[in-house]
Amino acid sequence: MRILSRSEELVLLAVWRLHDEAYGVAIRKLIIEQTGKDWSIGAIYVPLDRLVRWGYLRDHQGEPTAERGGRGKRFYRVTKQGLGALRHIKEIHETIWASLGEGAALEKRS
Amino acid sequence: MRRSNSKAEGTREKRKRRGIRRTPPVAARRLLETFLDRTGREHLPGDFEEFYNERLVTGNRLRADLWYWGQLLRTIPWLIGNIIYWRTTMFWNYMKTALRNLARQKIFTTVNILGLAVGLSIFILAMLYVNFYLSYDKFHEDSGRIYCLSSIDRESSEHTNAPMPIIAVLKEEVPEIENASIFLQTGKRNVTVDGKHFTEEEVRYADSDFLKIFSSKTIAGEKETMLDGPNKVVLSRSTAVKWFGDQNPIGKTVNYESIRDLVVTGVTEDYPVNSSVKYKLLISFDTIRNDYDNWEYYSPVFIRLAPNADRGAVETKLAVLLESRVPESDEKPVRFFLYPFTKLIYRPASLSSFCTRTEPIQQMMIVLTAILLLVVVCLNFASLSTARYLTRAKEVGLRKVLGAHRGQLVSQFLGESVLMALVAFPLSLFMYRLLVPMFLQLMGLKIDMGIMNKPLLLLACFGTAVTAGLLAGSYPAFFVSAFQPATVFKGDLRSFLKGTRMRKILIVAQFSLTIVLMIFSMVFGRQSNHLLKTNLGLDRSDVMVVNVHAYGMSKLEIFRDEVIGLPGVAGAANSTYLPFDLSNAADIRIEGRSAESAVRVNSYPADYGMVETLDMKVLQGRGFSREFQAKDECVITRSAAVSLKLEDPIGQRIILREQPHTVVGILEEFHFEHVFYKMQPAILSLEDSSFVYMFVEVESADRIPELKKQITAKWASIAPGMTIEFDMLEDLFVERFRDTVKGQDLLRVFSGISVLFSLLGLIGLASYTIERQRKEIAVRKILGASVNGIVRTITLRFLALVAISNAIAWPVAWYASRWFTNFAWVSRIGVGFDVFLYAGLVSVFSAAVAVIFQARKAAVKNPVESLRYE
Repeated sequence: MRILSRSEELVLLAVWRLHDEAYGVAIRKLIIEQTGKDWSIGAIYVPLDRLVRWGYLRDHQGEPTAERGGRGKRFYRVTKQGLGALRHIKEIHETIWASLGEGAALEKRS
Repeated sequence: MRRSNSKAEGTREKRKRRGIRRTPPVAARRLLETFLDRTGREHLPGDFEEFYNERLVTGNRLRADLWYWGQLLRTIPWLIGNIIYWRTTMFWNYMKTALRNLARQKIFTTVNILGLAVGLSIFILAMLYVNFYLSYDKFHEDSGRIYCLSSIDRESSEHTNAPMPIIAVLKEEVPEIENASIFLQTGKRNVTVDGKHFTEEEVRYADSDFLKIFSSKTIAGEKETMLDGPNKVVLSRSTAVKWFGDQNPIGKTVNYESIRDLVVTGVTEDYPVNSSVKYKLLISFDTIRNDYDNWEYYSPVFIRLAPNADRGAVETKLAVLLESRVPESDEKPVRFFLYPFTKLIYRPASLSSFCTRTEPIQQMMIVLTAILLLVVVCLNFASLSTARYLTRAKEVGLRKVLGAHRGQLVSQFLGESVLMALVAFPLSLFMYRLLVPMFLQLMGLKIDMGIMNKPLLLLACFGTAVTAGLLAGSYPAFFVSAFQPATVFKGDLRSFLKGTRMRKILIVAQFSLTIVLMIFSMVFGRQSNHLLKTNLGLDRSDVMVVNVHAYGMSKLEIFRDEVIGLPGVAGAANSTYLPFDLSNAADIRIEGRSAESAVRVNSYPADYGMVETLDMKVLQGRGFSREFQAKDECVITRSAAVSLKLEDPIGQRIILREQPHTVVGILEEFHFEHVFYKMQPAILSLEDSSFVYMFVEVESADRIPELKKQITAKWASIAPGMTIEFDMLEDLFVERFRDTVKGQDLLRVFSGISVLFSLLGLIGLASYTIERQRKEIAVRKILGASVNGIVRTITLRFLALVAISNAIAWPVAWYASRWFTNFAWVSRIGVGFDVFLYAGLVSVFSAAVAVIFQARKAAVKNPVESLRYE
């Protein structure tokens, strides 16, 4: 199992969260809203491609709509392996946080 | 999330109502779509449109547009990388396919590449040949500023010469003239160096400015002063080496014609072949200036104008100079003009000059035929390739199924033909190397035809090769890329049949061009034969021309008489002029009539036996005879008598150069000049001096070698140490037409090659068509057709193509040859109809032979085999 990078993790989470509405523009918008930072387009699309290549995401072509100049959207869905990878990275985080003990958690809180 | 979406939706609606555009810049979007379509990211333009609209909400349109463009520009490096990656991948795939196909169809590949190579090598040959003439005289520094001072005489003939004393006043009257020099020519001259005798051609006289006008590398001596003052001579390097070997020639004294001693003051590099001005010896004009201080003596005069000088202004000043300084005389020109030096070799035939004149028509001919040949070869390439690509229909179908665009297929097949052109190019350079010596020998030229030292020309030839490949491959490429995968795999033959029609057109075009070339070469050949057979009014066979290199030696008369006494000599006469060379015009008038009634004729000083030796036809009266002891006799041609309006010419007194002469005979017209010129009225007058040549009529040609020895021995006893040379009159005549005759030979070779390649194209077409008709032939056979019947049917189909080609080619060739002969020759014969018949017969016959062979092969095959096929 690969260890996801932060951007990959965020994109994967965003796709999971958006369910049927997960396509490029919506994913970016969600990540920007949640992090409060402006994410460049490339910072979304490059991890998306990579995740598809690794098999963590599956993509399919949506029906063309007039709003988008007659272009269809490409929707993404998290695969079982994708969920596994998310769980894996979460476990790693938790394990490391736990090993730091109570003090570290308190300091962070303040 | 949903909320924000609908909010954006709302603003968009609002904007739509306000009539604001909500699509990104059209051009940018198009670009984006074009680039992305191929890469499987079709969804991106849609996403970008949403990003764009988002930006419209927060900022103004200009910024959004700029952002959109910026995004597009940022993709360029990636795009280029992507293109390069795929191009290289596909390139190797194409390359592999191409090489496999080329290797599989060896005969076609060979014929195609060889054809292109031959066409190209001949094209290169033509280019270099023309380039040589274009480079003529251009190597001098400031050659564009050099002019030949030319004059128009009162007969309004133009001459590239001027009165000699003008040289003294030119520079002072016309300040724009930087340098001016006489360039006086003489024939062969005898020079004695340290007791050794040399006969030198190209002996010239010039002023010291000469070496400033015509740049030449000085090897020894002071360039500024080497021609200042009398009795100085500058040698060309080859002469210096011949006379002195490796000794230093400067300061040496040589004896010139036994009349004066000359001091060698300089040595210069020899001028290259493409130079009009040449010399072996350049003697300072100061040596003889006083002898030529006469306004009636003419010589070529070269001037170099100052850098920005206006030619028109100079000519105006020359007109003033003509009025004020040139004394009145019969010979006084009516006008001076400047003839550009670099154009001298292209001058019209009416402008007489010493320079070799090239026939631009000759070069046009060669270039035209070379281009035609290249076109024939390209057509051949196209028709063969079209046939060849049929076997690759399935490859095309498969590529299309796998998603190849038509453009990709076109570039693949174009690439293949360019590949062949690239193979053909070095091959053509190699062939060119082999061809050059043959070409030079054929044309009788000694010129530099190396191409490797001319990068620009080499590049141009390379460009031609690639262009030829592209042109030749364009039809097959478009043809083959149009195959529909569905029909190809179904085995539908309709698209193939369409190809057959087009290939028929190509074959017809190719044959038409070939037939035009063939007719052209025959017409050209016939025209030059006609020139060679022109009735000159004199018999040039078995006449020897002895060149004794000496003016007015009284010993020549004794010599002539001794030669007449030799066994086997039918007659001999001395002459001043060489036939078919220069002529000398003079005015004649009837004694007692005014100068206005004078008629201009060609005048030739003659010796007693002249009329008989050259077998000129006497119409009335007699030739010269020694019996009458008269020194003032002359004979005139019939046209001269007509122009003089002489009713009863015999015994009439005629004034020639202020000397009265008695007409003793009327001659049939004769041609003593270049046959390109019209026959002129002429007068032969008895003279006893100024002879340089002797015509010797021999009784039989096999006596000539022996006679040469005897005549040489006689001359040695009469004039010890003087050289003597022999020519045949016939050879001199043929020499004048060398270019024409050689051009004809060349044309013949070109049309032969063209026929060869047309036939190869036909064979290619025939073999493929017959292959396609295997089943038809088998069925015909089963139904009872004989082998001969089948062969006849197939052959006739192809002969119909050749017949159509003839029908197209004949009128074209007829108009072209008629225009051409009218343009190029004074004396011409019509375009005979038999020429067309010959061309037709040759084309039909050779095509029949080529097809019958293939048709027979197909017809004798067992029908079972053909039908079992598939």
